[in-house]
Amino acid sequence: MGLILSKAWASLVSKRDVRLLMVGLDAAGKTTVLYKLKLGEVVTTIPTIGFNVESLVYKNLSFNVWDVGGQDKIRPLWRHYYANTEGVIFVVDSSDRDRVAESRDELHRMLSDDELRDATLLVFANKRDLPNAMNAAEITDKLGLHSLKQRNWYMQSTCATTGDGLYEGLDWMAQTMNNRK
Amino acid sequence: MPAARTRSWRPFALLDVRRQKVEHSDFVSRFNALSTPKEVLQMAEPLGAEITAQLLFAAQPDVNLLGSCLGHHHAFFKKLVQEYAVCFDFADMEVVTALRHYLWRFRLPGESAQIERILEAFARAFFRAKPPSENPFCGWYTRQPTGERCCIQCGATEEKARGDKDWLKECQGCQCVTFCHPCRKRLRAAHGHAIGGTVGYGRACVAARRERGLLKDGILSYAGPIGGNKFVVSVEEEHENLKWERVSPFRSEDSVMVLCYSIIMLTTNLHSDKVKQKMKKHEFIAQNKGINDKENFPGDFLSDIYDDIAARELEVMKS
Repeated sequence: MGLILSKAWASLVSKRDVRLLMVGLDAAGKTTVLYKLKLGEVVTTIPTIGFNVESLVYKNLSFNVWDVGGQDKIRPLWRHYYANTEGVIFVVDSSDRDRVAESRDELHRMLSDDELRDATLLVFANKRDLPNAMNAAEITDKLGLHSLKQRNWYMQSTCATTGDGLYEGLDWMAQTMNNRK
Repeated sequence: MPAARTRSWRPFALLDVRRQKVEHSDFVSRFNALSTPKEVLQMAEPLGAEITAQLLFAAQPDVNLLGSCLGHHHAFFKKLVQEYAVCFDFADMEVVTALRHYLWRFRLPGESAQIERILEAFARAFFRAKPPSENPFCGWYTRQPTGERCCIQCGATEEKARGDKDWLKECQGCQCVTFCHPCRKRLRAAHGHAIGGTVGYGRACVAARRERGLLKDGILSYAGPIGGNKFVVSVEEEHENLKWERVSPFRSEDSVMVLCYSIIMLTTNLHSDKVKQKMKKHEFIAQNKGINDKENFPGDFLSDIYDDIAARELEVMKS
């Protein structure tokens, strides 16, 4: 009984650390997403020179988000980080019809990495407010998400500049992570 | 009179030069008054990338604006960052020192695509200043990386041994540096080491023993692995073989770029308080596997870089 109570208490109080990678072509809106999610938190120090990394506390999870780059030649460097990654946030520009195929290749190449076989996938279809934006069904189709059989994935259309949709997506991620525990 | 000179003769040419000098002298202060790369583009594009780069190098502009210009994806800025990087003289610098010099003069943006462009320009300039040598590993592989015991070639630790006691083993020649089983098998003898060989020693073996103080004056005493046989060789005799001076291990421009990218990742990892799990030295060595044109970098080379970055993060000047 005491054990159950203490476990329940721990699940309420303790923060679980979760590492997420954020991936996507440049100009998809990764940085905007990252800093929109941080809004309302006090930025105290001058950031360290290096990559944008943010830690967010949401629900009972503490997310650690890395903004990851895409060129083939630097891909081997992410091995170390893939190994402890539980979720991937993939950001795609819904209005960029020209590069959606490139996005798809990038996504599938990354997911084929053995270290990421258990990682959950959250797709942010960003810039949904732009006039010629593709709708969710079209993006799902163009990114080939239906071919991901074993993968736990979710697609959320967003507008990062206003923050619309970001927390809905994060809610799903938090819920999935909690179910996993 | 040569034709060319006649053509260039203009009565007020000197005045033109003077006006241009004045224009150029306040270029940086006009630059500092701007706030976005787009505004800079309007002002600088007519001058051309080369002149702009030289002006921005000659006097120090605002580090934040300069950083966002150099990382910008516009074609002009892509050219500008290349021209800017060649203004530096990297010839006598190690890669981390050169990188510190470069990043001291502007604030590196945090976006990966921008970091890539800025480092590509650096890599080109650095590699041009330090062309590859015939044997890129010459002079290296002489010191075992400090920290957790690991393979000097691939960074693998005891963890992968799965109970095999001899999985990590010293080079048979010098007994100074450690190789893991797969690397021993694959290499047998390489990088100046005897590694898994049964007889003899390599130049790196000699250098490694000398660094450890295991070479007696003028005499190399070497205990062979078979039945503890002792070979005694005079250093003078082997003089030609003993040359093992350090060279730059980079095999290509791309390998400079990828390693620098890795260094930026390392500095983020070690110095950002947002990252909880800090990377260890052997993990850094393992991470950089195969990025030197499919080869690995020497473990002691990477170990030095790790120590350098761990001791001091990359900094930008205060403007």
